[in-house]
Order: sequence, then structure tokens, then C-alpha cells
Amino acid sequence: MYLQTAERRGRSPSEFGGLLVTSAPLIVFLLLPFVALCAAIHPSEWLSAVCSPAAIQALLLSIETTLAATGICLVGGLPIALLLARHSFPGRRLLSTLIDLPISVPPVVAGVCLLLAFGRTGLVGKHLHALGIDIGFTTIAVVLAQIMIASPFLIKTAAAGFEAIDPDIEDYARVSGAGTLRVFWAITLPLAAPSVVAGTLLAWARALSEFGATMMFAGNFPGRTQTLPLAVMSAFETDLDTAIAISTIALILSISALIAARTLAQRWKVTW
Amino acid sequence: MKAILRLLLGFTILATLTLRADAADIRVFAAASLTEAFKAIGTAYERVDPFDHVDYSFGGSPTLRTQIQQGAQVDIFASADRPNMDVLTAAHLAGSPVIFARNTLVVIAPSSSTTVNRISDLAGNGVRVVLAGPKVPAGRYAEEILAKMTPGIASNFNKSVMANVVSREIDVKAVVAKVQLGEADAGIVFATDAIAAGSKVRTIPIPAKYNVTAEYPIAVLSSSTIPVIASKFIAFINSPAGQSILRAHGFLSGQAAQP
Repeated sequence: MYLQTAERRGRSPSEFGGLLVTSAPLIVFLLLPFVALCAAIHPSEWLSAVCSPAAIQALLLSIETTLAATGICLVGGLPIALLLARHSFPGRRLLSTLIDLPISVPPVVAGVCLLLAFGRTGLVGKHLHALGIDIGFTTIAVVLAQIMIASPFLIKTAAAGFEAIDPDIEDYARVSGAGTLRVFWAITLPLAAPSVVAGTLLAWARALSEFGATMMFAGNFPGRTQTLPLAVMSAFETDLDTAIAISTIALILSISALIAARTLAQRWKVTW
Repeated sequence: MKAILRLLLGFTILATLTLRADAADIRVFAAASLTEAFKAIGTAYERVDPFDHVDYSFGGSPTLRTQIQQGAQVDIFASADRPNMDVLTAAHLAGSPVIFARNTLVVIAPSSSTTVNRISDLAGNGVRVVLAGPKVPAGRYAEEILAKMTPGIASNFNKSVMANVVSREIDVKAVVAKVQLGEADAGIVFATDAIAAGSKVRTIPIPAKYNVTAEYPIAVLSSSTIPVIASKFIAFINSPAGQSILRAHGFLSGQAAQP
């Protein structure tokens, strides 16, 4: 795809060759660890490790929690994306910067902050505790950690999509008598769909790989809070083959998310 | 000419210093429970030999052990139990270990709560107990202790406590953190961790008949490029000066239980 673009723009082949050579080291470095992971697999042990109760439990928990987290990101994030993309108000730029805060601090720090907010002795958590609600060490804590780390990806990607829509198109619809909600469903959302879907998949992939905040806030218990990344870390202590096998499951899921995002983007003829 | 000479002299001094510093950079992988004591020992050692520098990586013993098996370039490994060291010795990745310290375990509870006051409370309804991972020494010892308490304290005591466990942490310091924050009602950690945690936790002693004595082996690793300097540091840990620092942090002497 990049090659076609270069030809279309009439760039020199020597530039292409030069860039290819200078790009190669980092490309090799980025992909080599994944090749090493796949090379470390012993097929028979891999199958038994992938089918082990610990791996399946972690996979199911990861799917369950990331779907919940991504859904909540979508419902809660789209209004924020629209707000940032469509409206100017005092503090808009500040809000836009603050939204990125959860992904610019180390996830472990995000986990500590979550504990101090929603832990049993935390700012909000102590009042919840008084009502008999404890969030720490529960599956809900896992979902909260994932929402915190993943939602900025969705909000920012979706906002870029909303910003790119020509306001005239929506104005025509409004002049023709469509209500605000109808304009949103029939015009805005379909036009921004590629970005929204891309953002959703990015958020999902990020939620799937969440480790630091989960470890801090939700702890590590099989079937309850031990998601795939935590299962890899726990298996690393006992048995490297199981750690490798669970890592490959995570890798397969991530690659699926990336391919899905690309395919959908190509269908809608957008590149990102 | 003068300027060139001065430059040359500068480079020579710089090169000498760099070489000296490089040669005496001791990299140590140590069990998380050794964090405070080993940092103090490192400072004391650097005072004795100002050219040597000790770099630590603290973590759960099994995590560090796996990293060494995967080729981490380290000079010394100090484990909180024998099994994690024995694997390395058997694979010729580590020289013969010496026991340099011993430790016992205690139950800790947050100072801010009164849920757990005695050991039998661990089995109470809805009590949130946090342990280190099953292969992490503190976690393995905790399971051993709970088994010893059954049926002495209550029938099925270990099963009831294990049912209350909400998390298996990556190392013993993570257990301390969860209890300090009041997230967990209790945890089982080393006596030294409880001392290091200070006033934020209450310590509930485990009677000797149920307790275990954790032995800490230390060894120079085969991958070390400075085995002589590494041995010198281990000798310092076993010297009266090193042992007194360990004792000050609550460890028992390693001498009584040489293998």
C-alpha cells in the first residue's frame, strides 16, 4: 500500500531503497520477539498447556471482562468524543489533555490511584464499604482497571472521526426536518463508523493487555481476577511452557483485533 | 600541544575511572523480603569498598529464578527458599549456595481494622486473606503453616482459610502493600516484612509449633564475569558486620543451619 503511494507521488526508487534499508533494523527488532515466542513452542506441550484449566479460565475471564469494559467505554466515551469534536467551551483543551492522563501514567500508577479512590479505605471506596460494597479483588475491579486504561483510545480515535465529518451534510439533514437524534443515528454515526470501530478495537486490544493496574487494584486470583496477562506472569513463576502457551493465546487475540480493524477500515476505504 | 596533552590526560583519567567502576558493578537478584536489609548491606559495603557498586533487582524468588534460567546476566542470587536455588545449582547455573539468613512467618492485619485479631479469625466469614503466589516462598510456607494448623486450630482450618484467599500476589511485598492499604483483612508474610511495614500493620505471631523456619541461600552465578568480587560481597554478608545488619532487620543468623 505504501509502495503504491510512493509510485503515485513519483518518488525516486533510490529513496525507496534507502528507506527500506534504514527501516529494516527496527522492523526486525519489533517482530523478532514474536518470532522467538512462536519458535519456543513445543507443539504437543503447547496444546496441553493451551487446554489447561488455568489457561481456559484466564481466557474466558479476559473475554468476559474486556467485552464489558469495551462496551462501557463505547457508551460512556462516544458522548465525550462528540463533545470534544463538536463544541468549543472553556476548558475544552484541558479536558482533551486530561482524557489522555490514564494512558500517559504507568498502568501501575493508575492501579494505585484506583486503589486510593475505590479501595476499601479509598476516597469513594470507604463510603461504598460502609454500604457493604467492596470492589477490590473482584471481577468488577478488573473491568474498572480496563476501562480506565482503554477508554482514552476510543475517545480520541472516535473524536478524530467526528471532527472529519463535513458539518454541511448534517445541516442538510436538519433542514430537511430530521431531529438531533435522527441525524446522529442516520448521518453522523455511519460517517464516523470507521473511526468508532477502529477506536473500539484499539480499546479492546488495550483492555486485553492490561496488567499493571489490574495487579494493583484487582489482585491475582484464578477465575476471578486472573486475566491472560496475569496468568502469564503467574505461570512464569512455575512453568515457562505454560507462560509461553498463554502468551500465544494473547498474541492470537491481538492479531485478530488488528486484522479486523484493518479489514473494516479497507471496506470503508479509509486508512489510519 | 599543551591542549592535546591535557585532553589526553583527561581521557586517561576518565577511562581509568570508567574501567574501575565497570569492574566492580555487582548485580544481585534478591528475594523481595530482603529489600530493606540488602539495601542497608549494600550501603555498608560500598562504604568499605568505595569502588564497588551493588545493583539490586528485588522480586519473587521464582520470578528471579526463571529470569536467571532465561539468561539474565547477574552475579549473585539470594533466594528466600531452597527449591528456587536448588534448580539453579542442579543446572550448574549457580555455584554451591550458603545459608546466610533465616526467617519465620507472621500474620499481619491492617492497623485500621479489627477484623482479624487472632489466627483463628483467618477462617472467619467474609475475611479477605491475601497470600503470595503458590511458588513464591512466602506463599508456599503459608500453605505449609495452614496445613500444620489443621486440625489443631480447627478442623478443615486450612480449607476455610484458603477459601477466604482473594489474591495470590507476585511477591511478599505486594502482600504487605495490600494489607497496609486495608484492602485485605490479613496476610501471611515474613516476620521481617512486618517489621519493615512499621505501624501501618498489626503483627499476630504464629506459635513455633505451627511456624516454619525459612532458609535463605545465596550463591555466585555461573554467568558472573566478576566471581571473585561477587564472592567478596557474599563474604561481607556472612561477616559480623553483614549479619548484624540482617539481625537489625529481624532476620535470624544463617550460621546455625549450614547445609
